[in-house]
Amino acid sequence: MLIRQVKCRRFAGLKDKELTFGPGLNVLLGPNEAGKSTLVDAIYHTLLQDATVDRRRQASFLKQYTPHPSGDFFDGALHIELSGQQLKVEKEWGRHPRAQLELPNGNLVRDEAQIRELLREHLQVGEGSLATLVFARQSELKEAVKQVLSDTATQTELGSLLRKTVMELDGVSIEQLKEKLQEQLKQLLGRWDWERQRPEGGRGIDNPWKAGTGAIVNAYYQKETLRQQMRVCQQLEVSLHQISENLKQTGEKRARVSAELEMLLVLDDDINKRAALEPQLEMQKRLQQELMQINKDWPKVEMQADLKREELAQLRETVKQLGEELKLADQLKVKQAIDQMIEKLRGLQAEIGQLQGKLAERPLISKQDIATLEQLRDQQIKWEAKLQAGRMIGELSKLNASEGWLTKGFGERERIVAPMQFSADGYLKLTVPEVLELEVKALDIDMDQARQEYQAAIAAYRDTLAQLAVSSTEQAREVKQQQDGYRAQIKRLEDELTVFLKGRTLDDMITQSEALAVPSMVRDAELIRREMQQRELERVEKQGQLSNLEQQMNAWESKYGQYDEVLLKLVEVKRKADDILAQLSGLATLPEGMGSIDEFRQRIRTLRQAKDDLYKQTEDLRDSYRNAQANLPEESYEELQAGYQDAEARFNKLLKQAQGLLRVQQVLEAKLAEISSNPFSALAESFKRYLSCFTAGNYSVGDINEQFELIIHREDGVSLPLNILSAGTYDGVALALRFAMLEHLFQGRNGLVVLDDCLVDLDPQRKQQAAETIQEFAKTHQVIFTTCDPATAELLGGTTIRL
Amino acid sequence: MALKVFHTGDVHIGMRFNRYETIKQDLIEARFQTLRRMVDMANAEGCNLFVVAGDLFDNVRVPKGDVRKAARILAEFSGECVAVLPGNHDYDDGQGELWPIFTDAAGDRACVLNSMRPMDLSAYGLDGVVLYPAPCDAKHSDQHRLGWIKQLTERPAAKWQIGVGHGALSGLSPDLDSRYFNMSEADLKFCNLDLWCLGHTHIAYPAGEQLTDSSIFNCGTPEPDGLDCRHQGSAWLMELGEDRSVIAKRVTTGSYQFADLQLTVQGHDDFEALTRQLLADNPQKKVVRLRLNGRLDEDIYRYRLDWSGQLRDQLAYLDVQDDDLRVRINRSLIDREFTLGSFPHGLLSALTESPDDDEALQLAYELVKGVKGC
Repeated sequence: MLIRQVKCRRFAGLKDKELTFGPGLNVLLGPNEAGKSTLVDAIYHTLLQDATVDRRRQASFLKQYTPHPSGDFFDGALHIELSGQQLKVEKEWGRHPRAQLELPNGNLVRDEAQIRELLREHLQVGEGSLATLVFARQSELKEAVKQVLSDTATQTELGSLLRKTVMELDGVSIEQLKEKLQEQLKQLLGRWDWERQRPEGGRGIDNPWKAGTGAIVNAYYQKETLRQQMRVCQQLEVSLHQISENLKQTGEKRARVSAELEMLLVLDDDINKRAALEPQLEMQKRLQQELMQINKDWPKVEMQADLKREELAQLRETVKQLGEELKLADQLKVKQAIDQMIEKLRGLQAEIGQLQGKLAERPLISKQDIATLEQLRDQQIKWEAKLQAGRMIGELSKLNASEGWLTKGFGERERIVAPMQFSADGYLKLTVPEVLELEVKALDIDMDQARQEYQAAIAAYRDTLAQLAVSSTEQAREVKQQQDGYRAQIKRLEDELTVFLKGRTLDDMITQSEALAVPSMVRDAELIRREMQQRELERVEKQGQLSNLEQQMNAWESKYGQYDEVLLKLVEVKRKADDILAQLSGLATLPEGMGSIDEFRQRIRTLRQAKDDLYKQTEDLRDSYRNAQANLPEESYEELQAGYQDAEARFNKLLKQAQGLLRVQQVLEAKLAEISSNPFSALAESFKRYLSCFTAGNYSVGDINEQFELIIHREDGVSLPLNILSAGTYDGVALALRFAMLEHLFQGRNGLVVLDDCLVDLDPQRKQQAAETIQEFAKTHQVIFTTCDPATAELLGGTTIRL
Repeated sequence: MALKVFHTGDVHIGMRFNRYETIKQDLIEARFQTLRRMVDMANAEGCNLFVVAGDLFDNVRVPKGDVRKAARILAEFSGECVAVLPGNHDYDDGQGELWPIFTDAAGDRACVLNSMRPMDLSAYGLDGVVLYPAPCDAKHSDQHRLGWIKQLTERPAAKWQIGVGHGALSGLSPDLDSRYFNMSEADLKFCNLDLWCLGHTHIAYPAGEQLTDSSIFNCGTPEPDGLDCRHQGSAWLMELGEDRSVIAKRVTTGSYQFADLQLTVQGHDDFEALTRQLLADNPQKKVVRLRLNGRLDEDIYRYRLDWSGQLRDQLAYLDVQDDDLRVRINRSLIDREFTLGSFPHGLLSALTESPDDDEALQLAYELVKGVKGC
């Protein structure tokens, strides 16, 4: 790109200026306030600023360049050469803004948007880049560099530094951009679960987040609150409608009930009278029937009573006869009993006689007799026991005699033969006639006395037995027992006899029996008695029947007197009934379908109750209606719905916005990742090269120190942080960066740079070196250098254009 | 002698207009003014009968003062009878206070058509006129209230039999849920009346200014009440001949006009054209919602705020929804505003690659612009 010519009729203080530029280095020389910067502005705006501007929003722009005091427009025209082709741009700002682009083929374009597009297409460099790198004031570039360098947190190496510098050339801090994005996302998404598209933790309007909420949650709550209010409103409206319907139905019921009640109440008097008369009529009818029946029954009852009386008389006679027969039967029974007793007593007497005979057959043995026998026997046993206590045994082994005798105890002597063994109790006497007489006896027994007493006892014992006609004590006991039994039997029979006789004698009884003369053909008393009972029952029954009949007749008589009067009474009752019927015929009848007066009255009671109930229901429903109406929200359902739709639209808009921001975040992160992988090595090399040039070889780029300061190495080896560099060195660094980036921007194409007096702070050596660098740059690019210093212009060389 | 009928309805007195905070009182008052204007028109035309075919009031809880005020305005009708039918908004279920208050205040010539029985207007001095009301007794119903007319076996002798109903007329307004006493022309014709005066839908029916061959009329609202109401408000002035013919003339009644415009704006000229359109014909009575979309150059995009501010001063109410109106962001803009290789340039350029990222591009642009120079 080459700017060949710039022209303006009016542009701020410039008037009818026309300057021509050549390729390479053009030095625009002029004193201060000569309009150098204005001319650069004219080039810039003619190239990049639309002619049509908002007069209010861009008032400062218009004011800055409109000539004072009476100008109302300013303009500019540029001849540009691009790859050998000519373009001509003209613009005029003011009351009648105008823009025109003349294309290489001679066509003219006046639509500004099209002009912009065509210029962009031809320039191949964006307006932003042109503004930042090509037309930037050196001071602005220095400011950009300074800002990047002040952000030490991210820079650790030259590549990163340059990368950041390039990326933030437009004054847009990436960190601030990210922070701003995060802030906006937070403001939108605070407490919103994006993934689930609901508030965090599912906390709806019943339990809403109070703190940290973003716009989406707030809009969601607002929307849902309105929706809930709509639901409540709708429910209340439905409820109100339902109550209203109920009121209508209740009203209709009340009307029906009231109408029916009124209709019934109209009949009420007649029905009440009817209620009084109808029972009377009923009573007269019943009386009439009763009298008719009495009239019919009275003679019949009289006949029946007479018949009963006859039957009763017959029955009484029969019972009397049976009583007499029963008496005979009872006498016969007594006689038979006496005879039986007599027979029995006789038997007893015979038995007693037999027993007394048996007693007489033996001597009577008393207890004393038995005791005597036992005592005598005891004495025998006592002596025998004593002898047995002195028991002796002997053995006769040899007897040289013809005979020998042995006496043992109280026994008799007995013959002995040898050899033999023997024993004896208490006493032993061995006699061998003529040879031997040997007595052996117990020491404490007087054998003679013993034998005497012993034999006396035996004799007494035998005498006693003989007296009692028994052979032993045991027999004596048996006989005594037998005799005791006889005596007891006799006693028992005698007692029995006494009981039967009851103080009489047997003869008395025989006499009594003989005195009872009873015919032998008499029926059994029990049979007679049963018949008597049966006849008695019949009598009682008939007597009862008779009583009833008599009672009935008595009742009729007491009520009506004579039988004839019944007929008279009947006529009277009939007349009364006719009177009542006549009264009833003039009264209203019960409503159709109603069976009785009770039912009529019950219906009135039911209707009155229903009327009261319905009244109460109505009042309750009216209260409910008023309450429901009072509870209705101030806004109607339709109004709430409109509000809800607005809230929903706002919510959706915020969601869309959040989605957009999330997408920005995604692209931003991707872009950062992409950029961070770009080493910017070519730019870094350019920068190093230019830095060396602009600092006359005194400085080279080193590392970044621990304080994240860019270290510039001086030629003498001393390293200095950039922030303590001199203004000149700083300018050099900034220029080096700008030139490096311009190379990067133009990518080998011919480009343009407008430099204001950027060498003013350099020392002569550096200035010389910088001038050479600029000259070198101008070999491939057009350079427009503005300065007020002729020496600088001379130093730079190139084409000098005086202003 | 002909019978002159003024037919209106859907006045919606008591509507609150909360969405139009700055002019809500004016809009509320406008409904009274329009009612008065209609009474004046009817009086000027010598009408015998003034029919309000439902929704005189916006709801059954309209403040008593407003009810009495409306009743007093109607009482100024100089014809024989004002017949007011309860509509679905001011329904009469026999419980509310609205209609008793209205009746008390409306005078002897007013009758409330809240019963489903023939209403002989001879008591009001209109011999031979019988009204057949189809009133609303609830806010919603899936059944119209014409059934009783169809079932009527005997009708009073009348020169003119006029039906007055309220509900959605099939084909005129959608009632998808059948909640608004939906009725069809066939239903109405089946009733075999000389004239039907209907209300509910806020659009007049049939179309046309003067009609002679119709017997079914919907009044439409006389005073527009929302953005969906794009006419100027109207009512029917009718003349019923001895031969039962009907001549109907549509009269304009409203004061406010609502406009809901959705436009694509491409440049300055569109704004200017819109300005001319909106400022024509009584702009101080215009309630406008503008939904703008499109892509604009940034300076024009920024200009829209000044533009809408100026416009707002001259209209009764202006709501501009320009969420879909954005700065035209393309490579050209990005190149112009950002240096090649800079991060904003790269970020925004990446977002221009897919049209799906348009929202993100706009947001990113605003973000970058917000941060630039900070």
